[in-house]
Amino acid sequence: MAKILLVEDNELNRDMLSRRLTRRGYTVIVAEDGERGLELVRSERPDLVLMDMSLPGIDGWEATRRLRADPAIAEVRVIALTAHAMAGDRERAIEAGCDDYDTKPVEMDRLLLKITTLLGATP
Amino acid sequence: MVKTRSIATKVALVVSAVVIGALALTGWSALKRSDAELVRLQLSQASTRLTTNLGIAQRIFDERFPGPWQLAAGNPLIFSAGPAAPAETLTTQLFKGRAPIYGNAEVTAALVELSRLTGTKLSIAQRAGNDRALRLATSDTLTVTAGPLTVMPSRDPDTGLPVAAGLALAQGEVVDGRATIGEDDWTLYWPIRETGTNAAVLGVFYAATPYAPFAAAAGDASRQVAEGLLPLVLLIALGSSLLLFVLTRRMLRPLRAIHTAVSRLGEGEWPQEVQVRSRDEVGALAGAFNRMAADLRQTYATIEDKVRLRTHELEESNAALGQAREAADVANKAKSRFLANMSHELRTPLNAIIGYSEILEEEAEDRQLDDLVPDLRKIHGAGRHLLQLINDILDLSKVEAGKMDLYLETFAVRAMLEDVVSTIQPLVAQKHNTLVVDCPDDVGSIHADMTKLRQSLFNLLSNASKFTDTGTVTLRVRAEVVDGQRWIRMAVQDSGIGMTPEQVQRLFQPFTQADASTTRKYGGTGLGLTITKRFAELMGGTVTVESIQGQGSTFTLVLPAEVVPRPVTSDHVALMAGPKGLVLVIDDDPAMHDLVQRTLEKEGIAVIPALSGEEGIALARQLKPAVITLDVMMPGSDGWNVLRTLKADAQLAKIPVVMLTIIDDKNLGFSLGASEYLTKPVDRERLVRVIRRFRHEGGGRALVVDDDDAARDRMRELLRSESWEVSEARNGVEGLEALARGLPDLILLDLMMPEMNGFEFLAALRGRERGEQVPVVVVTAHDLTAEEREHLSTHVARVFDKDHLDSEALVAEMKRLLSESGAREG
Repeated sequence: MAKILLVEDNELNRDMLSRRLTRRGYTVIVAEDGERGLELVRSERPDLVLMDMSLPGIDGWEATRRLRADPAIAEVRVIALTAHAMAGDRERAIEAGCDDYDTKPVEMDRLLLKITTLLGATP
Repeated sequence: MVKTRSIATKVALVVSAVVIGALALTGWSALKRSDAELVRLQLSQASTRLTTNLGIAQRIFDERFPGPWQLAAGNPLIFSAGPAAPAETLTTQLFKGRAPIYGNAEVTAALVELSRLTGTKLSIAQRAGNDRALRLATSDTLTVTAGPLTVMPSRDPDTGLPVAAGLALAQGEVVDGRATIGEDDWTLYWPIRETGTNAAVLGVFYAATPYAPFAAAAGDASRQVAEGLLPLVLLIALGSSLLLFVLTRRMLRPLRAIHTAVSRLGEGEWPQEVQVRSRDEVGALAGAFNRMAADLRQTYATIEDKVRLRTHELEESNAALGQAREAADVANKAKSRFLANMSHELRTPLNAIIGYSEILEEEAEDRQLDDLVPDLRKIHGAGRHLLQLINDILDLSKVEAGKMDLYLETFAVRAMLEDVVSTIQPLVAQKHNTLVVDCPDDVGSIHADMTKLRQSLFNLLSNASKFTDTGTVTLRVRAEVVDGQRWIRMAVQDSGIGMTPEQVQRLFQPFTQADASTTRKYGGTGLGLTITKRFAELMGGTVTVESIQGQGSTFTLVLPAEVVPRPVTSDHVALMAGPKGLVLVIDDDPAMHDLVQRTLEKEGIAVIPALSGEEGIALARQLKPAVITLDVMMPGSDGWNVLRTLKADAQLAKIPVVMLTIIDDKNLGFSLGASEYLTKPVDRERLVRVIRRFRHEGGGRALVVDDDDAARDRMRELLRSESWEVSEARNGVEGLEALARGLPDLILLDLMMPEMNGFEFLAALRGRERGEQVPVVVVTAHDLTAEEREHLSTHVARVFDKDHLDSEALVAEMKRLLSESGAREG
């Protein structure tokens, strides 16, 4: 059972996405900001992080950079989620250390494809 | 007027003085000279011909006339004798240079004798010093005989006294007191006065032969004269010179003062006035100069004041412009921020709507609540649609705000196509269509904005797929070279429903699909094609469409293989915010922009300024203005070049260009394709008329006044398809309100309406200022009486029967009226 950490500050999105992922068999834990997200990565050791990039305090890019900088948790997969489908966002996310990138609103099928690709298996 | 004594007068005075002086001098000296010369001549003749000397003469005289004869040296021989004074002293007189000889017959005889003895020619001319003598002389005509000597004594008939008779040595005659004897011209002299009571004039004796002592004496005399004159001559000359000098100085001084003043004036100084008080031309000149200088000073001061005022105004308006620009910049940034925020803020709740509707849909399926599923799908679909709308609006506003940047990169066309095709494939399959890609392997690469190109192709392909069912969508890509430039041509052809020409015309307008029902049936935002077109234009390309209703459409996207970034001045573009009928003003003079902008904006016409030809062309490509006004003299690309470029660009060639220049070369302008030619200074009214005329080419602004909603809808649709701007009113009152907002180019009027009917409206319209100029077309279902028809015929252009409306005829009539009023105005 793959464990996914969803770092998302918007409550609705957090609730919605976590419910849908849970429905599909994933264990979902959530964090509201980057700092809490990093704590949970360390304590919960999720298989994958869905990281919203626009976060209060430590934003998604910074959180990802710190995650990659910490050898203990550096191997965790990260998919960046951003509402800004702007040119350059994808590049910026990859640069920060994300494994993949998707835009919000989430298209469930597309996101699931990216998750299974990264995790190498269905939940 | 001040009476001036002219310089001419002065000069004349000076010259006169000098001339008079000179004349007096020369006259007097001439007189002197003539006297002296006469003496000299006489003496010279005497000395030449009289070989005898004074001694001989003395001897003869002594022999003949024992008595106190006296010969005065330095004078001609002068004898004076009279009957009553035989021993009369021979007086010597020098009287004004004439030397009379006083003497009597004996004297004459003696002289003759003397002459004979000396072999000298003697000439005696005589004339009595009184009437009698004169008479004698005339009555007893001198008989001049040839021969050495003839003495012709005669007597006075009255007195019996012997009077003088003439003697001549040669034949001759006497006329008017002059005797011509031989070759010699003798002047007859006569005694001026007589000496003694009975003195008679004998005559003047001239010695014809030079007589040296006489000559020497005469020379002395004339020298004396000359010497006596010299100081006087010098004095006069000096005096004249001095006078001339003084007068000249007096005349030149004010001239010099004026000269100095003029020089200083030329150097921009404002000299005090020239102090010249003389009343001649110089004085007048100085006066004129002073007045001119004063005028200049006044004018200059006025100009300076005006310049200061204008500078001040300009500074103010610059400051205002600066503020406006800053405000616009701020507003623009706020707008961009707002757009970005809005996109985020709108998308976030939308995410929830979409997401939860999906969740509910899934859960409804799970719980077998199938009857809820279709409704949940509708919510989901509407959410997706709204999201797409928001994204498209964001894109479009970015383009229109000039905020859409190009990220140019070089990439292989084929690889990009494959990417797009894989994305679009599900959509194509959904409608059971077949996608055919026709692209040669060697199509090469393109330097462009990949994201925007992909989105453009995606839009075209999804559009084709949307309107085609169980058909074929073909993507045909070719590289081609036109005018030495490489282009990539991408054509998307479908076998779908196609479009009517009217639908094609409206195709690229935002939010406009082929018709309103299309959206309901096919969905979509109606922005896809608009965005595609804007993207293409941003990259210097075009999107064109060909379509046959029922057979399908072909959209062709053509981009340069090397896209160059377009210089877009975003603040200009931000201000334009896409109004229709935009006027692009290309002029390097900001003042001109100000003028044109104020003039046109007062008429509700939006103006975009371009300060150079290059900027103008870029803005023209981007904004597709309704009209372009173009200056000729600009740095960089001049107006003629810009005009050539505009007319050579298929996308821009149809935009009417109004030359607005100081250069009056209409032939060149028109030959290069200008639509109208106005010369500066700008006649504002004419400019407005011309701009309005060209702005509405194809369609004008029509006001539809009709209480029937369906009729108004029909009219609106009809007119919009002909590119008319349509405003509407439901009765005469609303119609008048619409007029207050601005006069339309044409009014379509119903007659039977509540509140205010067509007749009343018409009367009110014609009573308005310029209301008489607006053509009115009546479209009515009302059966007109003969009287009404008669009334209308004088006030409206045409009456159409609403129930049997011939749309084509109506549109044609409206076009005709528009062009007529345009031509009348222009």
